[in-house]
Amino acid sequence: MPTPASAPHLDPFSVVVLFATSFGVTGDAASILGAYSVILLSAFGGAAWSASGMPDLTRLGIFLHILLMMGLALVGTIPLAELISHVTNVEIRWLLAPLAILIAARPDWVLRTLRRWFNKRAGLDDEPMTPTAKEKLP
Amino acid sequence: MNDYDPLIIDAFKWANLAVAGGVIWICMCRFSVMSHLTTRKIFRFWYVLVFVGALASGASPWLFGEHPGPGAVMLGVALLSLLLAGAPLWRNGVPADVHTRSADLDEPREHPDRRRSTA
Repeated sequence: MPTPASAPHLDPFSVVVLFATSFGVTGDAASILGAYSVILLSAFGGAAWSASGMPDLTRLGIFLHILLMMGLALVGTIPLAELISHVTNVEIRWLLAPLAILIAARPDWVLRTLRRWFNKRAGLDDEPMTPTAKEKLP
Repeated sequence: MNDYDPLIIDAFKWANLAVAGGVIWICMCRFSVMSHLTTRKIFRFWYVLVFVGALASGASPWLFGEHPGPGAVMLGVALLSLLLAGAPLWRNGVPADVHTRSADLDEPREHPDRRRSTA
């Protein structure tokens, strides 16, 4: 079904840009603010999720973990979104929030899952399963 | 919010930021107690939502250019007081109903027939 030309974009990026423009921020500044607001909030959520799952972290440790993950997401989300958009033809605006969450949530978990997926596709044996923290419990 | 005095708008903005900061601090305290082994996923998810919501609300003047009104501040104060009310439950670790482990069983009750026979 063809969509009308004036139909508004419903992705988070466009919504934040709409908010920003309605409060006087316009043009390129609104686009940059919109993109980074979405990345910041998504990364904050992803980092909080991974922090809530890590045992024996102090408050300072949690603060540093969130700061580090948010920094990683702020640096890595746009290039990764550009790359995936180039390969898959998905618009960048749809990739920002999920990528920022994934990057901030647990990079090692994401990488392990991706590695297993590529290994399975290539017919390679995956590395032997290391005991998880749950299996180590008495 | 456009009808308010700029001083009042600023007061709401900083009050909202302070309340959001309190909510974020309490969430961080709870995260330091939680872990993926001891805390049910749904509770972790709820606290993450509250954490992100507090940041979005507190930083809304800078993130979205949207100034908080009295309603947002009151809602924030209500949420903060709700979290503070639950603080004693978290003092000694994850509370029982949030914990992944099943609750302790009650003491075995004596069967009524058995009780009658021994009486």
